[in-house]
Amino acid sequence: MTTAAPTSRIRRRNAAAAIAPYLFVGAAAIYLLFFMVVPMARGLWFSFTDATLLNPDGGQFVGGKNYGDLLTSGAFYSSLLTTLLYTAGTVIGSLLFGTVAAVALSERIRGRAVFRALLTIPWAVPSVAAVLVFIWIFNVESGVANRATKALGIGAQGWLLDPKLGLLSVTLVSVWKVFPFVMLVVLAALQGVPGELREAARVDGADRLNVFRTVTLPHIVPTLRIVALLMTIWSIRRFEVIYLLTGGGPIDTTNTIVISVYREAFQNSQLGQAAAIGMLGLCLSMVVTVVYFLSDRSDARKDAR
Amino acid sequence: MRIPRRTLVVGAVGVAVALALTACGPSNSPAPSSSGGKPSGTLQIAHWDFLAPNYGQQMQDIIKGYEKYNPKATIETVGIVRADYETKLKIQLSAGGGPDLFTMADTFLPTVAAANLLEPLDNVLTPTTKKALNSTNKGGVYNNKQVAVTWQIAPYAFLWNKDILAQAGVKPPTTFDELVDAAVTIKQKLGITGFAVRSRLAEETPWWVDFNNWIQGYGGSWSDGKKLTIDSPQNVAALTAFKKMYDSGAFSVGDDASTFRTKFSEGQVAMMIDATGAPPAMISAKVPSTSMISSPLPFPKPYTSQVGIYFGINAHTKNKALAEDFLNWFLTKDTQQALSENLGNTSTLATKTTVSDEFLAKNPWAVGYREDGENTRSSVIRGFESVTPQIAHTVLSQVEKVLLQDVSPQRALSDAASSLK
Repeated sequence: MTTAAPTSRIRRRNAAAAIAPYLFVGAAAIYLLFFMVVPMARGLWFSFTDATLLNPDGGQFVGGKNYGDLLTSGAFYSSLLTTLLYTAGTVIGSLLFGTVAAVALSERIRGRAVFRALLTIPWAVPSVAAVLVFIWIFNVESGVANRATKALGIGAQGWLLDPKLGLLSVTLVSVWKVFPFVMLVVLAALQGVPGELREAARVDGADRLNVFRTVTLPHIVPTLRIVALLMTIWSIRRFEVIYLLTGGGPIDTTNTIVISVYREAFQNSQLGQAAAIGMLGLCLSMVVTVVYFLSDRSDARKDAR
Repeated sequence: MRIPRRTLVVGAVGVAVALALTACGPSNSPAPSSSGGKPSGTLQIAHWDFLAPNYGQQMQDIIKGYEKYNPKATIETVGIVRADYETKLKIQLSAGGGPDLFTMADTFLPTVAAANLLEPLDNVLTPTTKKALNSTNKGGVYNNKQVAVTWQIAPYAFLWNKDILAQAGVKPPTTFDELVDAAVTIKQKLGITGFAVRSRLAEETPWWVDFNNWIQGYGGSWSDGKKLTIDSPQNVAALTAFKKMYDSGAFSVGDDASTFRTKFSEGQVAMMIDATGAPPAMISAKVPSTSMISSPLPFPKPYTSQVGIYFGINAHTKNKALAEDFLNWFLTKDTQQALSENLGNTSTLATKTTVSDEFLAKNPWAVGYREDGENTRSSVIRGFESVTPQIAHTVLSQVEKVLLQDVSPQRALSDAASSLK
């Protein structure tokens, strides 16, 4: 009797220890199952039906018709190209401005904390509020942007109306909104660059640009790579900034894949077609992720040699 | 490793509870049972005008007046911005939810009715109520069933700020050429926007209704009832005129309705074509009601578009008896008169309402709207009611090309007609 109780307790403790990982993982798995896998599976099913928004369960199975219609439509490829251009512009712009700002703010300059706080504001401001401000900035009649171009002798521009400027304007606003994230992450990475290496390079006669290129950059490249991946995926998925600024216009020049999904599902009520666009968009995100991991693995192998 | 059965049972129960919690979403609670006479419960009623400046709050107060008539009821008004209204309702209705009663544009009604999302009203309205309904309620009939009643048929009119026109020394235009000349003169002399109407695809649904003014004003139409007439000569003439105004240098290029109405109320826009809901919302210290004048549109024909707003019961409502009682109260003479005055006494409602001479004297802009009330035409395409939104999207996408890419009106409308075939 005296030894039975401790043995039983030990067994219970061992059993609890054995089941604990499953419970922890199980909670996350249930969450993902209900909020990711089920909706995604339902979306996949919708993409093979002619379901409409007002009658989502009444759709008939149409096989690959939705995909066939998309892949033979010029509008889809145009939307894909717009997505790629927007993504490239936003990623390159935010990495460039973010890195430059981070390097500048890692130096010991007067008012550094104030500058850091100021440059973080765009990331902190809610997107809707920021976009409303930019709509006024880009207003043809009374916007600040056109006052500036008029003062420069260029004349008023239709920033959000001219098909040649629509994508550029949307990309500029997006870069403004997201570059502080890059700046903060790169700032953190810069703390890990050994000061003595930079000092040694300077002693060897390297100027600031060369110090950055030969010492700093190699140390922050892994960080930049992961930030680029995140920026790419976020840009492919970005909706609110584009939709609020232009709604996909002018003349569909900012109609990215995500905007197409919204228009098809919620404006044209074609849930099946929208789901098909969404699935192809998902494939695009997955391709980017796979390419990143393949390139990362290849670099790791090179480093190992 | 062997896991004790008791532990497995505890784990399974935990997972089951978690699953149950996850699966249980919010659900509409059923209506409390009625007790003695009037039904009880809470009704949600949605309309975009509940958010309208100046008169939106008062409109909500009128609707909540039902609580005095039926103290067992609670009314919750749901305001949704106009641009997102249809989208939000579609999402809610498709999920089996949504407000108990809601307004809808005449262009949206066929879509909702075709999906059987509106409660038939033929056995809901009392004989007295039915007798009081005017002819505009025919717009709420779908497949020979009354599925909605008129909330408001709002005519359009040509509206201008008389102080600005006087300052610029121009007479109120009565033809299209005079309109362009007046707008350009105002822009040149005062530096403010001469003329404003919607022109952006981002406001697709209301732009379609607005643009119908030009089509009606030039004697055009989108169909003959059997086939589409998208590229008819009258429609091409209407689009050509629109383009000329857009390119005049005096047009509110790029402004949405919210922006150009704000500018009008600030005295920064001189003239516009807008529905009757606009003037009450634009009255301000800078532009008092007495400074706004309206008249028929300066186009060859006397016809205008209309904002047709209908009101129906959600087929998913859990408060059917209460919703039906509310609808009969809504159609009583006093409620209709109160709503008519709230809307500026210029719209046609579900039943007959009156307007005093005193009101017209204080609000001169109401006169032109009342004159136009007899000449309004719906922007729902006859014979193509349930696909009007899709046709509208195709046509307006081409109109945008005319405005922004200088595609000729003839080619743009021909392209729209071809793609719709």
